[in-house]
Amino acid sequence: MRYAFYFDQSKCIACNACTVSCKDYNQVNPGPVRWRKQETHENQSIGRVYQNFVMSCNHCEKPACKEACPVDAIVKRPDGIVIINRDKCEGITACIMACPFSAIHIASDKQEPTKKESWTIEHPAQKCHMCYERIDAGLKPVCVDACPVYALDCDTDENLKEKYGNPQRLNKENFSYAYSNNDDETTEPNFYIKEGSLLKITKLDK
Amino acid sequence: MSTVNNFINKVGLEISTTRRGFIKALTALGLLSSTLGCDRRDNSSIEMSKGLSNDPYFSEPNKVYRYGTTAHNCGGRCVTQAEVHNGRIVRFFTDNSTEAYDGSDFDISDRNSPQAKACSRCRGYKGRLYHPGRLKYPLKQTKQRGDMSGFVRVSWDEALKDVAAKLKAVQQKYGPEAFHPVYACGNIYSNFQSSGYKGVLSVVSPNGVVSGAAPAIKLLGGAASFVADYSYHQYEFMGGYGVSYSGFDSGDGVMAGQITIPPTTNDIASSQSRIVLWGSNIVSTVNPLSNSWVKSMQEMKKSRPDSKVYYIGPEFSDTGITVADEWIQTRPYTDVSLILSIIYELVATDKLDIDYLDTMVYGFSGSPAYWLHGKNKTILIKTPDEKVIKEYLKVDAVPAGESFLSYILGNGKLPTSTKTDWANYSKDDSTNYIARSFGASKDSKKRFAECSYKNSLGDKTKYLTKADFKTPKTPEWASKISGIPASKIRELALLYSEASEPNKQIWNEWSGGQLKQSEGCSTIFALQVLNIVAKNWGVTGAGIARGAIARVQKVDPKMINIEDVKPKSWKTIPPAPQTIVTGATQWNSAVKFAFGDMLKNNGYKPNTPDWSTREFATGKAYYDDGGVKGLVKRIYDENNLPKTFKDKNNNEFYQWIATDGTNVDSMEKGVGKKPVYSGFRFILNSGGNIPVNQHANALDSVAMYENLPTYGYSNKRLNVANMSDAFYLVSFDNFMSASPRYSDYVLPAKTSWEQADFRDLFWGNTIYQDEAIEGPGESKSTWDFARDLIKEYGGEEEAKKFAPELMSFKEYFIDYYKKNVEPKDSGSAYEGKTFEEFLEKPFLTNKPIDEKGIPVMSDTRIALEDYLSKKTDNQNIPFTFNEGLYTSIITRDAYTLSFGGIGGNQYSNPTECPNQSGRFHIYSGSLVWRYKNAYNMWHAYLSESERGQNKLDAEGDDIVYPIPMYFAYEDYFIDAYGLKNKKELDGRFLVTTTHDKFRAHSSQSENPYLRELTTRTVGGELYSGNDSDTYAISSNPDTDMNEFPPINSLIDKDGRSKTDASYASILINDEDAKEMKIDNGMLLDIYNEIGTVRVTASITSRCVRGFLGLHQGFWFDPRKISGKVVDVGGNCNTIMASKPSRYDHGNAQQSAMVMIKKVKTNS
Repeated sequence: MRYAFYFDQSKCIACNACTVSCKDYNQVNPGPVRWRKQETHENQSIGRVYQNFVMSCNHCEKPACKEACPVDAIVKRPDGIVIINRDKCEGITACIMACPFSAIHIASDKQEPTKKESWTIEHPAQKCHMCYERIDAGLKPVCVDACPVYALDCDTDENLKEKYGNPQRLNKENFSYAYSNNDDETTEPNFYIKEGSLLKITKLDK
Repeated sequence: MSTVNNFINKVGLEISTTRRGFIKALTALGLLSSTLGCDRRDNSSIEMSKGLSNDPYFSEPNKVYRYGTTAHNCGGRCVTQAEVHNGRIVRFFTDNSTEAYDGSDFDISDRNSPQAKACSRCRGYKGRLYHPGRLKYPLKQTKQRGDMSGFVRVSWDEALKDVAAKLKAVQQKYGPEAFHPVYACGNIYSNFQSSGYKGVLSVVSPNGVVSGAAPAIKLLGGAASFVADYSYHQYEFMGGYGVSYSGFDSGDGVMAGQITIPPTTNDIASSQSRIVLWGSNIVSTVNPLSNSWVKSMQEMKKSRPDSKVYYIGPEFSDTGITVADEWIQTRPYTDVSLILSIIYELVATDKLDIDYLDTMVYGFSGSPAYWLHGKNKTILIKTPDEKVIKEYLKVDAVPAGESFLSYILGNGKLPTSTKTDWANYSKDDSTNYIARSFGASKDSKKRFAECSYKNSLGDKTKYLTKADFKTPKTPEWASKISGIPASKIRELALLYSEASEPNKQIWNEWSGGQLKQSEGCSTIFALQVLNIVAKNWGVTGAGIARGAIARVQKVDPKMINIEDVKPKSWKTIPPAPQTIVTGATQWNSAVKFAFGDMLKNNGYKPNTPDWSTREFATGKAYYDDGGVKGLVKRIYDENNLPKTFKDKNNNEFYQWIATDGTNVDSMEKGVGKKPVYSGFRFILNSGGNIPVNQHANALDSVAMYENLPTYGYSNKRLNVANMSDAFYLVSFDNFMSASPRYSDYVLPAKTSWEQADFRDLFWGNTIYQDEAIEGPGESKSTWDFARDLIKEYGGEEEAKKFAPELMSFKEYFIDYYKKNVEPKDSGSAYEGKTFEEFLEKPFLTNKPIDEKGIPVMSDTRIALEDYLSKKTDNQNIPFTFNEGLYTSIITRDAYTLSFGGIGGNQYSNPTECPNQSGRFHIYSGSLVWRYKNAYNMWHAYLSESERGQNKLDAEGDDIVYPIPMYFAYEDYFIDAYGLKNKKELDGRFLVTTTHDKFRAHSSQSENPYLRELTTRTVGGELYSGNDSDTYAISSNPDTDMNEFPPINSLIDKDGRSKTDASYASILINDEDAKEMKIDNGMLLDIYNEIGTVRVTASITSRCVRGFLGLHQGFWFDPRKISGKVVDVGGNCNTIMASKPSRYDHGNAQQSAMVMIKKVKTNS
């Protein structure tokens, strides 16, 4: 069993309820560190001109971040959820370099003004942990519960495949913009997507 | 127990479950973390935490959950739930109901699901509540308006005493009309707290009558009311897409549901196939509709592969991205040209049904005057006999050259392709009701001629509109204006030509953006005309509206009724004096009307190129607005109605008081006397930002405040000897944003979650919102503020009439609840439940109803079709709107003469207003008449020629016309910027300022969770908005007020970024940017004759070329740079001209034409 996210591009209205509720719920202050990010990508392909996209950590089957961490601060739970143990993090940033999806962040003093006693360094790495405490309680992650148009889901791999009819897995060919940090296509992201609808544009006559 | 309660319990159980699960997981993974003490700060900063689930926030044993909704005016009102730990909100959840009020479960993702899930605006509310810039103490200005160092902290007692005394002094000398609780919507949809629009401090009742004002205003001596608002002024002036000039009805009244029949989500999913979005952005602006829109349109596309959603607009909204199949790009403010050319094309291709037009439409083509019998609807061409003349209504002729057809043909020639013989059509045709009746008249042949509207200067006119009178409005003509290819216009014409066929009706969704320009009225009119001409009405899913695609739900009849909750004492409060009701946006002109001479003496110069200092004086109204001109002191009778008199022509006028104290109750008595100019002298700004930020031309407003007279200040230049002669601006608000900065008193207000209230949820039911947390410092709830001010103003007994036993609203409601709701036989849904139990879910979830949508045809349409197909010869049929003798004709499509009037009366000579025919009007004589005679019943102090409103433009021709014309947008800017001609506009960009999804107008502009999504640093990065400690920090009396920072203290005096300052961003087309070598995130000055804003470029293909999108609501934050004021806050109103919209003198302020200058940055 493993958990995965599902995202329906054709439903997303770019409202950012997911990204803001993520920060609010997880007590992440305003600032550049965000565990989930919404972007509207333009001019990506003929027909699919504007693509709303929302992504967090993809809790990969073969997490490049975990492999890269020399101090074993990143762990993968048996249910697939990838978690950073911030106490162990030494700020080496190899994980940040390794993740193709720019999912891992380090905060500034401004965004994270107080160091926790248990931390080794001022600002250990952080990222989405799939609200595992909610999952353990039988709830969905807060971003999923927040979505007003039901464009986001999180469930076991099998359940998602059944519910959404074998959706495509995140891949570089159709979603190159997701690979914002590097081109590593071997991580097997646990992220399924339904692509957006087609659009015709009648351009302004000059 | 409801599922929601299950959810609450689940989250509650999460304490243990999560904790257990978490510890288990940690053990399994060999991780161990130490638990730290909570990093709890004081109320003045945003809670800082680590974002780890072993945070004490997750294990707090004393958490409670409280439901609520938004206070701000975002169009939504979704349901949120606050998690409160020891009096502090730690996080927000949203509505996760899955069970309706009757216990039945529903599918939460269904298109009719009654869930109202919050978007980012409510999920990020912590950033607003705990912002360190929240106002905490009453402040009083001691130096000069706008001088931040002049504010000193005072006690509430002192502030309230001062405010009450000054208000009384002004009212005594200048009458209640001098007191104006200005339009403010920061706390809209509240029933017991709200701001200056709706709620306890409101001066507006649903029909604009002051006697219906909120009880607090009545107990404060009454005030001048306003009509309409900043969003829909033109829409409301035109009667909405409802009872309007055209008779195109979607609203209430006898014809409800007869013309526009909005589709439900069920209809969209199963029977609709054609939707045209005129720039709509509903899913962002009205979030509770987002799921039903997206879901039903997806189902539509699945069930009908031929279905199509068009989006026509200059900026492609989020709604467009999600639901549109085609984006037809167009220049802003050119919709009317497109519509005219579509109709021209329908003429050219013989697609119009002349029988229908003759029967039911007035003014498409020319027609003779006639008399209509009130009961049997027979028509007489000759004047009826005197004995029976009262049974008839006269309908004016439509001169051939003034008809709509003549205007679109222009030169009086039909397109060469037209085969129909329009000139001689069907005068004897037996199906043709009107044409048959016209048979007796020779004039019936004159359907069209060369367009005869007057253009005195001919080719030399500076106005493009008039120069185009005689131009055929072909698709090629419209293409040059709108930028839409002529071939696409012809395709749209074909689409509309089919709209009357079964299953091809078109649902038109208009947007507010169409109205925020000079010509919103003609745009509304034209859109209706398009649907009238295309016979796109009277069938489910045909017609036009906004946000009317409804979910099908049932509301629990046993919910708590707000009207019942209102204190009984409110009903005993006598009505306030019924003053004139001016347009909502006219307050600024009304201040100048009162203080013009003093302002001039004090050195004020209008920042309005179309209003010279020479013309500027006390007693003068900008654009000769009839409402403002009516603001002179009145005499009220025992019922508090203004007294009237009749002149020798039997026209009725309101009496007035002259400066020598004479009660002028006849024309003769007023000769040689001057009135007491009341204007607006005391403005209460409760929960709003209109006085500076949200009204056009912020720089002009600021200059005005800086030069208005003061009382008791140290500044001698402005000081007046009498308390009653000064101007006062009092703000009761949350932040020291632009408007409070220019106020005499700034009073701290509580907001959502801090004050108990009943609010209206989006889908028709109410929610009780408890005081989940305390407000900052000495902030007061609106209820308490109103109560305490009334106490100072009128004494304790008066205050008790407002707040029984001087209770807070929460105390009052608990008392009410125990007596009226809790008892076992109360009949309430909450009977038998304690107040604490009630708080667990203080709203009732509706019950969704999913059924197949089957289109219906209205009685009016059926009658018309029967008539046209000769099934009936009955002339007494609904399409002449025939209820009663004239009454329906006069009150419904004849329009509400009451807009801005008292009890339907603001005209001295209403019987002279052209009558309505009872048919659809494409030609409206009453529209022109109303403009010219506006408010003339209040103008007895003026000479006859000065009454009403200015009728002619700078070239001596008409300003308004009876048909929906394309008024070239350039004409507005030529006037507003004081230009000679169109050439001076060449090369400029057109700006529109739509709503931003990360603000509600200017509310939440300070919220760092939202700022980081909509502002950018130089270079173009988002997520830079962690600026709660540097943005909008204000009013801490413990610090040195001389050091008061600008609103964004990261932006230096020179307007440049000290470090990572976050600027408003402006959308610019990618091809334009490339051509102008503008990079993403480049700092730009956007400027015109009115002002300059500094913003960062956001390059996109989501807007058309020649266009800039500056979303409204950023906070005004001026710097003086090289002698010029630059608004580095990026408030769109800094570049908006003051000139009002054409027909209604409302809000034209979201349109501008500007130039771009790149700003050199430090890096």
